[in-house]
Formats: sequence, structure tokens, C-alpha cells
Amino acid sequence: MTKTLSQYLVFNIDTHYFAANVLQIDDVIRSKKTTNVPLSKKNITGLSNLRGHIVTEIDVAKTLNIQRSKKPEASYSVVTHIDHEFYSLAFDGIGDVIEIPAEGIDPLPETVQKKWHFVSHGVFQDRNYLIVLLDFPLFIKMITENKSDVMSIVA
Amino acid sequence: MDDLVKEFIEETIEGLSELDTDLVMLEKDPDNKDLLDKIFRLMHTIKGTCGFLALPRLEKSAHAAENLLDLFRSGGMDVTEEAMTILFLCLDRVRYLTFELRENNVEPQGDDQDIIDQIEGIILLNEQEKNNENNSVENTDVVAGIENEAQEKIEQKPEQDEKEDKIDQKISKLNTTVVTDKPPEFLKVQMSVLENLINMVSELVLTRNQILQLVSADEDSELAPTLQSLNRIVSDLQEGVMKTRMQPISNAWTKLPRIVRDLSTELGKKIDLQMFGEETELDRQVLEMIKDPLTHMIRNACDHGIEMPEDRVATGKVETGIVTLRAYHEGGFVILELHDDGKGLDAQKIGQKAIEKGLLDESRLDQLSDKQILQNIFKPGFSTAQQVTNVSGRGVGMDVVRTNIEKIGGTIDMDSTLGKGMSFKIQIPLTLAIISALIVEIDGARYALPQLNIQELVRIHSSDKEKIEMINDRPVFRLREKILPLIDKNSLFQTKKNSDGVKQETDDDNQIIDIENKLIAVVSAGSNNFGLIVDSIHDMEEIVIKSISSVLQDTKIFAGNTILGDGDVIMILDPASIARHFDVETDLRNIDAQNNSENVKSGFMNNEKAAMLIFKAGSGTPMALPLALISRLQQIDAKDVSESGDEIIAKHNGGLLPLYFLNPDGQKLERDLITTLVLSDDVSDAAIGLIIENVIDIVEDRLDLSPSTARPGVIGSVTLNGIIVDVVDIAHYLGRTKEDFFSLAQHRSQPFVGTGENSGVGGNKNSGDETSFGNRVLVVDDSPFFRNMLKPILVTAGYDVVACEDPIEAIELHDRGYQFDVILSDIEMPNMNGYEFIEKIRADLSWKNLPCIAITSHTTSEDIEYGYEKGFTKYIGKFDKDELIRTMGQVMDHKGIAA
Repeated sequence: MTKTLSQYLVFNIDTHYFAANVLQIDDVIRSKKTTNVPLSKKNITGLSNLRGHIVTEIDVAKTLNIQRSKKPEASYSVVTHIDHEFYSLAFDGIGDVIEIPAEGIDPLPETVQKKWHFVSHGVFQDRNYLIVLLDFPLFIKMITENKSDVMSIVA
Repeated sequence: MDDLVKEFIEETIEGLSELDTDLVMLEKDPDNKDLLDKIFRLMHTIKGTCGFLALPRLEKSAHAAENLLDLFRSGGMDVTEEAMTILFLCLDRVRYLTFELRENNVEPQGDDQDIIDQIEGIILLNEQEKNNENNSVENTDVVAGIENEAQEKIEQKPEQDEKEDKIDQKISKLNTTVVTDKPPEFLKVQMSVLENLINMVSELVLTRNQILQLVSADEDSELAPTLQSLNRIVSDLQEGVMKTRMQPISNAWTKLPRIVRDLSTELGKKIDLQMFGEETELDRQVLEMIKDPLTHMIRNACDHGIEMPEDRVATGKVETGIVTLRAYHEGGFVILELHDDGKGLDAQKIGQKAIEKGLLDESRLDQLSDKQILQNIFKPGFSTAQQVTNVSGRGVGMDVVRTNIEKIGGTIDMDSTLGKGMSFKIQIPLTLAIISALIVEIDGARYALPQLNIQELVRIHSSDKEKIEMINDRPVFRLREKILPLIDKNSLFQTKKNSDGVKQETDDDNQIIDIENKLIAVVSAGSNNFGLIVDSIHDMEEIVIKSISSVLQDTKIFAGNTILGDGDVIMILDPASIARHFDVETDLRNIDAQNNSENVKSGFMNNEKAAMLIFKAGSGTPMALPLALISRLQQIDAKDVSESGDEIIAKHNGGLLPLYFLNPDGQKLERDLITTLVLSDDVSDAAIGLIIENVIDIVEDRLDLSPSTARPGVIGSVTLNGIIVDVVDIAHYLGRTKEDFFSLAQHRSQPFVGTGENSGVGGNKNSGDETSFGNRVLVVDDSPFFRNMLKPILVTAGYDVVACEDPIEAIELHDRGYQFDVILSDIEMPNMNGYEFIEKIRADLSWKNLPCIAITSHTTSEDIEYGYEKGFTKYIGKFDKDELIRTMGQVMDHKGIAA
């Protein structure tokens, strides 16, 4: 296979599997204590200090309206940055880094929530799971531009 | 030297060195159009500025060079070595002139015709060559003539070279002299590089703070000495880096004199701008922010402030108006004062204008002070000019000025005297990068509150609850008779719900403010103050403001966030935004208006406070006495005290001092020193001592006395500072003394004991019962404490006392037919004050001939004068009991004789 392969890190929330291009990921840490920000959107957990950078922690489950079937055992923060601003996205578990060929990516099924289309450019069918490929910059953009609220009304 | 010229010189020197390199490059690459364009522009700029600054020699030289370059550009001439040489020579001349200008502030004498001729010559020669190419034979004469002329001009060259050599020498000499005396060497650094450096230093400071905190926990740490030097170096580094941001304020001022000059010409006014403190330094960022507001205000002052020369003369002022700009440092701030001696602001006109613009409610106009009316100029959509001139009123109003200043954490204040001029005082922080902030806790989380905005911290006592009132459905706190809108965590953090426009049920909950054991941080936002209720306060910390991430931008009440020394991230509250968000200003105005219209109806005057001394006397409840009644606290040697029967007498100052136990059951005389509270009458030297164990506290509080009849010697009990105390009934002890304490007391055989009786029966109805005629007293005082204090004193002195809470109640008694012999009235009372009361009495009550004594804590001579004018017979200070009794005697005697 001489096709273009990209490395993706897999993570999950409950039974939902996601992956993001490793080039978009700065760091993966165990979620730590955050400072609550009053008046902020509900999907923003708060702020934390990562080696001198202030990181805004985002609750991915809340953002994507994911209902968990059971309480998560742990929480991991996947740190990314967009224009000097650091964000961390909270997931329940971290999996492996997998290689995905560009042509292995299928478009997102129309049936998923509208807002998922905003943050993902496709899905990848692994042996076991269907993995939604997240685009972190789009993810942050959606929250910044307040689309998450708008879309939840539409969806 | 003119700042503009200075700036020009620096720019030109810079431009010339750039030209040097560029010309060299051009010689190598003659077809580089872009480069040629750039060179032309640079030369053109120099020429243009010289013309503008009236520097003829420089202008002419630069102009010649420009002509040559223009030919290069248009393709009319090739870039030849010869031409370039001449161009370089010209450049050197310009440089020489510039250095001369810098040295002597003027252009040197002489002209530059030589250089110009050379350039013209080479241009002519070029034309000639071109012509030769085009028409080889014709006009030979003309061509020859031109050729001769050109040749001639070029032949002057050797002489020129000599001159250039001299110039070169001079320049090199200049360069060396410049180096020797204080080189003003500058290095231009890109702002982003510097910003980056500053940010990193900020980070370093934070990291240092974290380490400091870690190590301070472990005193023996080996790290300590190393850390100490790290600490010092980081501090120095921080200071040094911060200095790079500092610039003299004159940078924001350079353009002002010119603006004023232009304006005065345009407006036909004579205006002199005087500037002081140009060297005052402040942060570059801050400087940028105040440039425009300052320019605007200067324009305003010239346009609206300073009058036309003839108007000024007519009002007895000098023709030339003076605008003063002053800058100085004061306590971590830069203060900017702008003053003009113009006509000032007319509150009347401003008020009308504000009403016209719908900024002010007409009905409120009367209730506002002039200063409050003038504040309207800071409102959006207000322009004071009758007509919008092209000088000011360009759509930027004072509101923009204020917003800009508040944006950088500054404040602006204004003062105006009609006909005399007006002044603005702007207070701006030195720097924005690092601020010192108070870390407060609200709702279990820590927040940073910029120290600059904190006026004071007030601890709220459970007994202060009544001070929180609702005005216009918003909670307010009365602090020293000023009203402070309160913002608590519920309203602060649930604003979103309310701002949706949907009235939520939580609105009602918000109004019940939980203040138990909390503090009010009195926070200033511009000219408005508000109270932020905080749970507790932590440290003061130097914090670096970091902007909040874009997903949090809509939270509005924060100025940013920061990392504390312990590594936690906290939000920084932004007082200006909070005030805007909650519209504190409108609140305050409503409150003001309401207050004025209700004219202190709300009854806060009732909160008359008294300083109480709390002490322990025997077992049981602590006791208290008004501090004002106590002459001194004295320790008496037990040897000087003797007991005889029921009495305890102390030898004191050559006299005898009767001592009393306050609590006969639980008190014994100490062996060595006996602590007493001495109450004395300075006039008669009569005194008594009350034996106590020790003083607990002095508390200033309002007194809500609950009367008790249980024990003689106690008026009742009151809660002070959270503890219940018994208030001593002085009259009980004064009555027991055999001294000639009160002049009238001696006539009464039985001291009054049952002071707890608190009814209105003392005053007799005018029913023919004449028995107690001559000693019926009406006491009108809103403070229950004073009523209770006065009553025993008076009763002890043998009067029948009726006490009323306010004049209205007294008038009711009058209407019901009560008669008295003397009236004692407080001055400051709710509903009707003492002056109004006496006026009413003197005017149309049957009591009009009664002696009326004013008892008040405010006894300035004006007050007294005013009181007498209104009809008071006498004036007595509130705690002056002796004077009271004496005066009572006097007025009664007088009355007795009269009757």
C-alpha cells in the first residue's frame, strides 16, 4: 500500500469512538482540577493550568449531546491549540494511534446529529468500531461561533 | 528644538543609510523597478518633509536628487556610474546638512548650487546625448551650446570634490564627536519581538512565584539562597523589560501644539497651549490609548472652552486663552490634567440639552446637582456645541473619551466653573501588563479584583442587615449615608438568565441578599461605586493579565484570567464591565433622584450611633455605658479606698470619690488596684466612680434598647457586636450620690428608680389637674437610646417626662390636648426635623410660648444660629447632661416667674 496514511489517535466517550489527527494534538493528560468560569457555556468545564498555559477545558459529551450509559471511570484531556489559545477536550478513554488511509475515510452518515457534521470530516470503519474523525479546529470554531446552541435547536 | 524637527532628523538619518544600501544595489541591478520606486519614495519623503519644515538647503538638494531619480524611473536616463556618483554626492550633502541641523538646530549658511548644478549638468548631458541619437545634424548650435554648458558644469567637479572631501571629513568628525558625548543610540526592535519577550518575562515571574511558594513552605530548603538570587534577578529583569514599554508622555503630545496652532487660526481665537511634565513615562500601550481622547479633549477645549478674543476681553480676561496640560506620577498612576480658562460649562444648558436628547428626565433636573447634570456630557449621543463644527463634534463625543479611558482602567473626572473655565483630571494606570489584585472568594471560588478599583472593604455585621434596603427592586447598602448598589454572587453570576429579557423567578431570590459574615468590597468603576459582596478575602497578588479564550468571550464580566502563585487559574473580574452590565450608573441616578424627592424619608437618620464602652462588672452579662458619659477610666490603689457601711469612698485628688458596685451580688473590691469608670461634672467637681473588673471593647453601634425593669441600675439590654449587654442606668447612681451633682436633684428626696416605665402618662392632659404643673417635659428624639438616656436623667432631676419618637407624634399629643412646660427636641429626625418642628410650634400650636431646647450632636455655630432664628430657646449638646439640667432649671424658673 503506497497510499497516503495519516496517524490518528483514537479516544472514546462511552461507546462512541472518535479519532483526531495526531498533528492536531499537543498533549494527552489525565483531566485535572479546573477553575469554573461563571456565565460560560454549559459545555465548558473550566480552566486549568498546563505548564504555564491557561487551557480551556471542553466537555465533549455535552457539546455533542452524548448520553452515557454508565459513569465514566476516568477522564482524559486531549490538548490542542488554535491561534495561541489552548483547549483541552475531555474524553473517557484513550486508545491507540492508528493509521488511516485517505481513501478509507467515508462521509459521515446523514442520520447523525447535524452538529456532528460541523466537527467531523468523515468516519472510518475499523475492524471493531465506527470511528468518527474529529477536526479540532472546527470543533473549537463551532463553540466559539455559538453554533452548538443553534444546532441543538435545529437538531 | 522642535520635536517635529527632531523626529525628522532621526528619520532622515535612517532613510539616508537605507538609501546608501539601496543605491548600491541599484547600481548592480539597474533594471530593478521596485527598488528604484522605493528609492524615489524615500527621497521624496525627505524632500517633502524639508519643505514642510522650511529647510530650504535640504529641500533643494533633495529635490535635485529626486529629479535625477525621476528620470531613472521614467526611463529618460540610464543608471550610469557617473550619475550614481553624483547621486551619492548629493546624498552625502543631505546627510551633512542633516547633521549640521542636529548639531546647531539650524541649517548651515551657504547654498548647494554646486551639487544641484552637477545634477542639472548630467541631466542636460543626457538630454544632449538623446538628442544626438534622434537628430544627429540639426540644431548643432543649440546642442553645442548645451554641450558647452553641460561640460562647463561638469568641469566644476574637481573643486566640488575638494568641497566634498571637507564635508566628508566633517561628517566623520561629527560622527566621532557624537560618539563621545552621550550617544543617543537606538535600536529599532519589532514590537512583536518585544511583546514576546515581555510575555516570557511575565511567565518567568509567575513561575518564580510558584517556586517561592513551594520553597517558603520548607524553611531549611537548600534551594533558599539560590532562589533568593533568582528572585532578585527576575525582579530586575521584569523591571528592565517593563522599562522597554515605557515611553515619555510627550510622544502623545508632540502633535498637540500644532493642532492648537491650526485650530486657533481656523477659529480666529488666541490660544496658548502650555504643557508640563512631558517626561512623565507610561506604558506604550496606555500611551496609544490616550492619544486620541487627549487630542479630542484639546480640540474641545479650544473649540468650546476658549472664547473669542473680544468676548474674553469683555469679561475681563486676557485676550489669549490658556490651555494647560499637565502630567505627573502619583501613587502608581499617571495623572493627566487638562485645564482651560474658557467659559466653562453651563449646567443649565447641559441639562436642557440632555433633556432634548432624551438622556435626562425633565422632572429629575431639579433634583440633580450641577455636577451631576454636567456628567451628562459623558453620555453617548451628547454634543455640547450649538452647531457641529468641523473642529470638534466629529461623532466622537466625551463618551468615547471616557470609554477609552475606562478601558485601560483609568478614570476621568471633571470640574467646571461657569465663566472661569473647566478642567479634566484623568487617572490612568502606569502599565497594563502586571497589576496588583486582591484575591477574593465568591461562591467558593477565587477571583482577582484589580486593586486599583477597590476603594475599601466593609465587613458586614449581622446587625447591619437593616442597612441593606431595596430601592427600585435593587439591593443597596447605606455606607456613611452614601448609597451603594450591591451586587452579590447570585446577580453577578446569573446575569445571563436576567438579560434574556425573561423575568425569572430567580429575580426575586436575587433580592434576598445573604450577607451573613461577608464583606462588601466597595469597587469603583469610573465615577461610580458599587458594592460587591464577597465571602472572604485572600492575598494581594501581582498578576499577569492573560486574555480569556475566545469561547469565553461572552462571559462579559471578566477582564481576563491569570495563573496564581499556587498554579491555579483564576478569573479576573472587570469592575467597569460589571458596572456597565448592571447599569450601576442608572441605578445610582435613580437612587439619587428618589432620595432627593423623598427627602430622607426612608429614616436612615434613625440609625444614630453611639460609641459604647463594654465592660465586665461582676458575674453575668457584660455591661455598657455610652462612652461620652464617661470622663475617664481610673485605677485606684486599694489602700485609698475605704468602706463604711454601704458606702465605698476613695481618696482621690485630695477629694473623696464615692464608688459604687454595679452588680452588688457579684462584685468585690480588688486587693491592689480598683478599676473605676469615673463620671464627673466638670463644673461642680462632683464625681462618682463605678467599679468594674475590666473593659472588654468599645463598639460603635446603633442602640435598640429593650427596657428591663428587673434590676435597679440597669436601663435595659442591647445587643452590641453580637453580645448582649446591660446598659447601666446612670441616673440610678447619680441619684444615690449625696454630692451636689445636679442642681435640681438635691430638691428631690427620692431618687427615681423605676426607669423602665416607658409610657406617655407623664404628660398631663389639660384637665385642670394642676398638681404637677411646672415640671412636665416633652422629649422628642428619634433615637430610642437617647430617649432612654434622657428620661432617667430628667426623671432623676424631678421632671415628668413624655417621650416621642418624632415631631409628628408630638403634634398628635398636642392635638389630643397634652400640655407641657418645656420641650426638648432633637434636630435630625425623620419625617420632620427639629427646625420644621419648632417653626410649627412657634407658628400655630398652643405650645407656641413654651421654652424649647434643642438637643443635638451637631452644634456648629451656624447650626445654633439657625436654631435660634427658628425659635429655639436654648441649644444643648446631646451628652451635656449638666448643662441640660441647669438650662432646664433656668428656663423653668424663668417660666415660673413669668407665670
